[in-house]
Amino acid sequence: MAKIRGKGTSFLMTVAAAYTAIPNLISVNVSGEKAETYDSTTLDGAVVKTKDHTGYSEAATISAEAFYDPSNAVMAAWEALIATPANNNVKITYTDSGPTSVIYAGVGFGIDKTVVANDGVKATLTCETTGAPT
Amino acid sequence: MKAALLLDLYANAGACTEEQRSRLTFLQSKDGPVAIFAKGSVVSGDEALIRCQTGQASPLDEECRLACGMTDDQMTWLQTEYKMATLGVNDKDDKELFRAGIILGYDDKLSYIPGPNWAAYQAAKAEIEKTDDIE
Repeated sequence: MAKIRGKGTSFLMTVAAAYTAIPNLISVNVSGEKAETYDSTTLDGAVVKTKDHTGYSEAATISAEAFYDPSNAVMAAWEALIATPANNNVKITYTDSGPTSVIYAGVGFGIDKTVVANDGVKATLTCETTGAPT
Repeated sequence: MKAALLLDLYANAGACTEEQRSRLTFLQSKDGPVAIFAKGSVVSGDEALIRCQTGQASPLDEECRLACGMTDDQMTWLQTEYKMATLGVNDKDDKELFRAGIILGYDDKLSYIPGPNWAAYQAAKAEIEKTDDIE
């Protein structure tokens, strides 16, 4: 199995129907994808509790850190999804030889901004996703 | 108001208007054909403006240029910035190398792809190292 570097990975959102790269990206985190389970322990069961699948899976939540520029049109497009909530497909392109791109249907967009004296102004872009990635 | 795309843009076909759908072309990828808006194709109206403001396109008329509210230098800077974002060039030092024409991005192994000024840069670097060795 090849080791894929993080450097070169891009994170894109849909702007006017085209996947548009988020500029000045620092990191991308995709978390929370998980097959859902339920406690299937019964009163007549063995000592160790049991679990089983519900048949559903949790969709991913994506967060990406980037240097923030309030005048950048892509950042503005992201923030517009908070002012006017709407679905927006986002895409992560990895750096493997393919390269592999994964598209998520994004909902519930958010942004956190951090301003400190000893660093550039940064934003953490977040979105929940719905359904299976493609 | 018109603008020309500076690079191929991957389309979200599900979000396309009828007009945009008529402009789609398809690239072959390992997963089959992928819908794109091709480099050089002309967009108009609000789409022209947003593509210019993101750095994906260059204005073709005065109306679009004025609507963008940027100088030519600012626009060129933004277009380079966007190109770097699509290539995943986000490292500060690599961005400087890209802007200086020393690299064009990364290859499959994520080594630098030499740009037009690569040889001159390497020669200058070797010269500095030689001077350092003498001292």
